[in-house]
Amino acid sequence: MPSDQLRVWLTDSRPLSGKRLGGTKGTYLRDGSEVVTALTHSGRSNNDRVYVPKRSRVRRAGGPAGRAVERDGAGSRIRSSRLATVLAGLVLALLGFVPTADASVAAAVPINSYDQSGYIYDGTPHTYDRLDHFALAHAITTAAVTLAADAPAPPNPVSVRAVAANTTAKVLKGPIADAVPKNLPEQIALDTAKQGYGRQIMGPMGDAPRLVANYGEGEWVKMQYVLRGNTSNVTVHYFRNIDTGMDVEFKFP
Amino acid sequence: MIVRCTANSGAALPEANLDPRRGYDRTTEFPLTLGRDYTVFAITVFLGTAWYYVLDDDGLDWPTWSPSALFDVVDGAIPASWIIGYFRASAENQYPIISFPEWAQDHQFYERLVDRDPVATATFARRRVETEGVTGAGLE
Repeated sequence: MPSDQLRVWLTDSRPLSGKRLGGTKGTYLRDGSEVVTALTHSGRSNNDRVYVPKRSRVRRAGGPAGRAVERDGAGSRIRSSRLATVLAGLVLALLGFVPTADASVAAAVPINSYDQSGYIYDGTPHTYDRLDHFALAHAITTAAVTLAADAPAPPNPVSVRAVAANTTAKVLKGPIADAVPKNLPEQIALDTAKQGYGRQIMGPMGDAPRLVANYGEGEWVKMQYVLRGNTSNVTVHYFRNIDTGMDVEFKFP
Repeated sequence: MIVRCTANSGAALPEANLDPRRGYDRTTEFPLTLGRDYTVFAITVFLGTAWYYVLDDDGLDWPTWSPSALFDVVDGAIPASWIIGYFRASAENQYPIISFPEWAQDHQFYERLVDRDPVATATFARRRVETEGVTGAGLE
């Protein structure tokens, strides 16, 4: 198979519906409709919870007519981890699939208004660790990329503007994983809190901008649930979006 | 300032204090003991009425707010050091805090206290002694 007919598109995600499932999936496609392989990966998740986008985006280029094929376009992002991306590139390299950086096909059929080439950051708030997976895979095969690099250089000025627009969100601290219970009372307390029990214990918080950036708009408040035992209590804190009902970042203070 | 618990469930709250999304409804049970006196460490306004920060029966290291509708005021004296602070996160989200200066002047003090920040914890421990001294408490 010609190497330039292979494209890998893995995109990022953000919490959309708040639905919690266990993972997302990226798909590698080659010429025609045959699926070469599929890689299951999880992104930066909230502990065991991954917010799954309503739709996934997979694009394939290099069919007989050389046209870009798009499925499920705007607004859909799949969260992917850097490690998964690097591994994907290594697998591709080992299999001899060497994608090229030719953007002509994708550029011929723009994906959306801001991503004319399909290789770039989209600059949308709530997008984290978004990588140009195609370019990264290519760079790995040429031994030109290190793990320390955040992302390959954007291929055009649109990318630069998009990355700049996303800077504010990137400097904020990311999601914080849920605490892991160490004993049965903590497990019970955590499970109960996750069912929505507890009450708000403070008003506006300094953490609110970070929560908005990571989980979405709305009024975020701190909740407290206390499991009362005969000899001791277990306290759980978490954040709740009053407007959406989303509960995140459970911990034992 | 000392308050005495007269009710400990949401059934005694005014309608304005009820917001199930925030965990306050008619079935909410507060960790308070009827007839017990509690030292107030701060006063704020939330859901339309005053709320008192007290060390309730949960035994936490930080005071937790409870609606003033659940208490009678036994001793209204407040420490001389207390001041009022006012925080405005937005037009729809603003509130006063009446307490010792470290709390009343820093809208993130309580957040740090709850997160067991050492400085905030030490500050509260010092102010707790002062407050309970003023109120003659050590109330149990």
